Amino acid sequence: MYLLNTRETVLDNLERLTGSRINTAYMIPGGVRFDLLPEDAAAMLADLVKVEGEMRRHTGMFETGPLIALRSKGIGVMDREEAIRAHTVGPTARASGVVCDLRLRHPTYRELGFTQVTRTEGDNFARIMVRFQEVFQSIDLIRKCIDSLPDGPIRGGGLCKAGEVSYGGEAPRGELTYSIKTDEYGRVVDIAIRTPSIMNIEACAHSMIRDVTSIADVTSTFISSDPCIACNER
Amino acid sequence: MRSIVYYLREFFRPEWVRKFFFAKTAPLVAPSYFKDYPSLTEKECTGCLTCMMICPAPGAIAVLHKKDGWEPEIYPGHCIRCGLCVEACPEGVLSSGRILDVTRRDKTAFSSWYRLQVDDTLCMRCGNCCVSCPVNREIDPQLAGTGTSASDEVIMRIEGGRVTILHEEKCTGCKTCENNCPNRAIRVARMVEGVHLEEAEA
Ligand code: SF4
Ligand code: SF4
Ligand code: SF4
Repeated sequence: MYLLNTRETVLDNLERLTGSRINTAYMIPGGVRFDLLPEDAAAMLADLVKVEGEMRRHTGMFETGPLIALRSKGIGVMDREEAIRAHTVGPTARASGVVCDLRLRHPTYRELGFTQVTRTEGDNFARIMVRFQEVFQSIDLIRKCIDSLPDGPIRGGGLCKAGEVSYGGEAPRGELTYSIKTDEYGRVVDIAIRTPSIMNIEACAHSMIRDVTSIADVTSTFISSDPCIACNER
Repeated sequence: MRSIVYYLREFFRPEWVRKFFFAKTAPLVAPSYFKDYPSLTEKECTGCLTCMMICPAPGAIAVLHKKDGWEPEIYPGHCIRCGLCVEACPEGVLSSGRILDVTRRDKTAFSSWYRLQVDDTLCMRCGNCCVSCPVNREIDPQLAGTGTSASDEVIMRIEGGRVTILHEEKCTGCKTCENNCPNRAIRVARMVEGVHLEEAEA
């Protein structure tokens, strides 16, 4: 519940830049819709400090709080082999020591010096902590981006033509792949989307939950795989 | 026991207690830059249908002929509040958040053109597309029923029992024809490119 408060700050910043909180409709082929003003960038950096402070506290509570550690360490363990076999992606896989972050291959992230957050425990605690660590990593990335934002046009044009492409990017929950086929005017003929939760929920059902002994732990183990039901119910 | 003490210490910090009892949530006001459903400004709509062209959500916006001229109408259940119509309208009839100011400042715009395609195997020559097309209507008010027209200026007409496209360049990309075709035989391709104005002119 506390974290939702921090999330509000993040969403407020999204709103400042794009005008909406969730469905931002910000990117267009060849660029973005609006430019980032210096004063907005400054406000964003100030809010980042706030978010970082709050997150440090929450992370501290999770990391050192005995109740949470008691309830999550060594529970829902999934080792590396299992994680690979189940095709898990995103933080769920990274908590089991799998190197799978697609951002490692992305030229922009490479330039920013991105390194993957990995933990090896593979339990509920590790999965939560990977996500916490990634928040801090993202805060640093945003700072770097704002610092190195070049001047110049924000739209380069560009049109979609006929073609077929399959591209996977790293979404917050893991690898998200779109396969799109378009006709000569860029209209979508065929589209397939693979969301990360599909594999992660499977992995949870077959690997993580296997050794869990109490109902309460089943819930927390399931949640620790960060399942998005809407992603699967398509 | 240790953990209880830990959490008591965590939650009963004076700052937290003070906040718990005395903090007042600021009243919820949407900031000025919030992209709400587009609202109408005082400007006059010319019925160019650009807003309908760019709208990504089916059935979210329609430009209707009211008593005193054209007027766009937003259907909030369908609109996803992307604000593209606001950005695309050349007359600034619509407004939402600070999009109008920002596009003026950034000198951004959309350039667009359209292609019409009729699939002859699906088309049953009903003429609905020619009749429903608002541009056709403007050019040849007599155009009705069968979709034949005496005017050579219309975008498309039924000619010799099939749809003939005469002036693709006049199409505004509103997709009315597509929506009115019972067989989905006519397809409008909207080619939209986001551009910077200085560049486009250069
Ligand atoms: S805001 Fe977007 S979805 Fe809503 S009517 Fe305008 S273009 Fe369509
Ligand atoms: S999209 Fe269809 S209805 Fe609209 S202007 Fe073009 S031809 Fe006419
Ligand atoms: S509305 Fe469709 S079926 Fe009828 S004439 Fe036009 S393209 Fe053909």
